[in-house]
Amino acid sequence: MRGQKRFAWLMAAPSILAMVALGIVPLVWMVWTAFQSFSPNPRIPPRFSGLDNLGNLVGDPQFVGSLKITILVLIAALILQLVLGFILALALYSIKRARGLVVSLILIPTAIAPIVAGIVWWMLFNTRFGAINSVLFQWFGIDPVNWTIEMPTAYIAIVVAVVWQWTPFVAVILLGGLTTIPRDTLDAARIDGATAWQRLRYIVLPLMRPFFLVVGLLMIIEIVRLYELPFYITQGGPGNQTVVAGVFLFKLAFSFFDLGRASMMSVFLVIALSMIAALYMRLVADHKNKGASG
Amino acid sequence: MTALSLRGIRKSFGAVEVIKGIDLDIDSGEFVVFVGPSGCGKSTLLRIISGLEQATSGDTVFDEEVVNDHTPFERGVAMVFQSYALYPHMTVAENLGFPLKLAKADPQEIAAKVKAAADILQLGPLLDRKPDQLSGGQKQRVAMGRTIVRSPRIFLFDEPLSNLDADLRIEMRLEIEKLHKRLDATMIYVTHDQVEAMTLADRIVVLRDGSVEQMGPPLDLYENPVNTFVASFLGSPRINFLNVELLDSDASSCKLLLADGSHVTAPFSAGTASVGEKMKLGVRPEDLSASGGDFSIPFRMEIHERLGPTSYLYGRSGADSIVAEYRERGAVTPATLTTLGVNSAHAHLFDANGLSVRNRQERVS
Repeated sequence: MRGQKRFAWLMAAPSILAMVALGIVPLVWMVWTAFQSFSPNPRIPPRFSGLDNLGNLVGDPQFVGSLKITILVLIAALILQLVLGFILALALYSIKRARGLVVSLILIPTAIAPIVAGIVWWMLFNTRFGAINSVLFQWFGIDPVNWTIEMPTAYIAIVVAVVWQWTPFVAVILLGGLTTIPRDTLDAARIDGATAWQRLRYIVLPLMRPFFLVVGLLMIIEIVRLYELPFYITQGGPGNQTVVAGVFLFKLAFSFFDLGRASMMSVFLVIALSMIAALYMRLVADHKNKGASG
Repeated sequence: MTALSLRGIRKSFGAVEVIKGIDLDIDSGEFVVFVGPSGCGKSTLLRIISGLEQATSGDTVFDEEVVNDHTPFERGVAMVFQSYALYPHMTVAENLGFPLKLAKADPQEIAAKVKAAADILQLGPLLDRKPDQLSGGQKQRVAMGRTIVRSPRIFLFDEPLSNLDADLRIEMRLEIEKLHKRLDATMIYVTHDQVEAMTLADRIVVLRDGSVEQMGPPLDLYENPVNTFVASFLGSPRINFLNVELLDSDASSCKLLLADGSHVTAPFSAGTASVGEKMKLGVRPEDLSASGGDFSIPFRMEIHERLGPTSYLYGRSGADSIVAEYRERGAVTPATLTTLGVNSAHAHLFDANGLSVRNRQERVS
């Protein structure tokens, strides 16, 4: 028995070691770093500074601004992704032939590396030679828009790129959800006198709730740690107005080399993300009977 | 209560025609069962009646009114599905009340009707449960309850008992029968189970490949099947077919050559069949006996299956496999039983195309 147990530990050891080395050690180190003050001079060792990093962050208008713009992007992008994703899912659901092929094609934006997508959208939104301004001018006679260097167009540009990249993924997950609804259940609703809209409202949407829950959570996580798209499309501009949390974090760590504050911000984001996720789950999951009685 | 007529109903899915012209009249208050093997079109026909599916051509008529373009709701049909099709996120009460809620009925009226339906089907204690907290039989009751609250013109059942175990199936079958008596409603019931068809139906419609093979009261179909298909579909264990050749026939009897070379004379006419024709003699297991009968056929017994009061003998007569009911209590061995007597009053002779030779001698009562 003892030998067996030892063997089991031996077999599990590599993955446990990898997890500790790559997951837990950096995490603990990050939390430790969050309470240290780093000098720009690498020869001066860090010293314990308590909650100074947090105080500095909270007092930094850039930090507050980065959270604000992140939340604005989160709200707009999440709503658009879920609504457009669901409409796209319904459209995909009505395709009878070659659905698999269409789904694979539609997933291309999600499959593209975010950094490539960022560069592509930066080029599309370019004021002078971007395709978007060119189309607006040639088809609608609209003068060139300074998309990425003015507000609120810079914000819109980021939201558009995020929605473009992730909506197909949302649609595919929701399509998976739609296919789990039995035809008989929908037929029964038709017999009970439900119109197409009522079937959607009373049957489909309530049954889709778990799928919205999962895909919404994934999208929240994805948007809060957003980095490449805004970094390439607006470079944080105009001014610092589109420096989202991920970009600000990058700047703290690799432009200012302020590892203490960067770590503190990471810890802050982890906690904030957990709270947002919990809130979202309450919103979506707690209304179990709404579809039936509301 | 509503009478239903189908006139020249056809339905194709792409190039495949699944319903090939069906004409049918169902009286108000009648219980009609569609039976047939999988793929015979019985469920499609039910869906056409319900309005869930559009016929490619032909008319569906409810009480003299053509309802081809009416939605299921406008037709006023209610349907019980094989999968029950309950709304999983709603309680039993909400499931029952859903059609009324959609019709914007007054909440008090909904509550009253839900309670009335729950009382009929003894669902009272379950009203606050969700479908996943119910057993199969309870789900079935809820599905039936959902049809009752609507007071529909026609009840449709699509293989409602197929997912239940044997005991529950019998129980729910009786429940459906009671419901029919109580509501005196027009009911159409689809099944592939001939026992359900025989026990429930006022009239059975046997379907094959999208056409009606025969329709009529259960015992009529059982006693006078028009062809081998209907004969073998109704009755369990199935009817036996003996390959025979017609040797001679007159107005009241015919002489048949059995596969083993022996001759028998059966006391009914072979009708228009010609001498030398290969035919099938259909005999149900209960019309075969160890002793007696109007004539005998050779029998080589293989298995004696005892079910209690009756038992079945499985074996062969020549090359044809045979099942015979055996009502005596004693043991039987291949050595003691070498022939079976045929009760010819209930035997059926089918021609080479499987059609019944109908000119049989009048049954001796």
